[in-house]
Amino acid sequence: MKPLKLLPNRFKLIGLLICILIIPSIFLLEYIFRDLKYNPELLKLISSISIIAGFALIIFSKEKNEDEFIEHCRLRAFARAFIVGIVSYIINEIFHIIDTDTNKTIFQFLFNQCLFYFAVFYLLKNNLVSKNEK
Amino acid sequence: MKNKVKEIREFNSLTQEQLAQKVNVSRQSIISIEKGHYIPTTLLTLKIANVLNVTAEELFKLDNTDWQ
Repeated sequence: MKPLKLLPNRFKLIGLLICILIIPSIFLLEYIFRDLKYNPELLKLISSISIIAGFALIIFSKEKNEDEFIEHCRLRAFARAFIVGIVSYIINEIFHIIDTDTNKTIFQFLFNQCLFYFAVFYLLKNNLVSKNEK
Repeated sequence: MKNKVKEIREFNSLTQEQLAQKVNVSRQSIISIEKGHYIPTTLLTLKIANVLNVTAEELFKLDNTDWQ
């Protein structure tokens, strides 16, 4: 089987840096520097794109020791995150019919999917999931 | 699937790290294989068998549940 074409490992650090820098800056702008004049929609757009881009860099870059086991964990985590994305979309749509205020944005779906991917990938990679669950 | 990777590795006086280096994978992979969490590809199975001087069938054995 041909290995997946992924970014070099250093992109993981870049992605991590983007996320580390963006998340506190949103918090600072939202709660501490509230009085400053800035466009909240533009800030929201920039921060959401940056976070998703940061997550994507972490997800699509190689581990230090990229081998077939890591690839196996990666593909399983992708599959599970994909299923979670579909299920959460269906649930959201059903709840949206009942209560129109509960509609999620695409960013929230992607954010949740990425977090779920990280959780599954690191659990599988570090052998924290029992044999039966796999 | 039952596997005897751990027993045969210990018989050959190899650590998980040494075996991992010889077959060019991470130690995590060897741990997962030994625990039975991960079934390696044919290529990696043959590499491990080659390093441990056994056949692939000696390393892995089909279980009754594998036929279900």
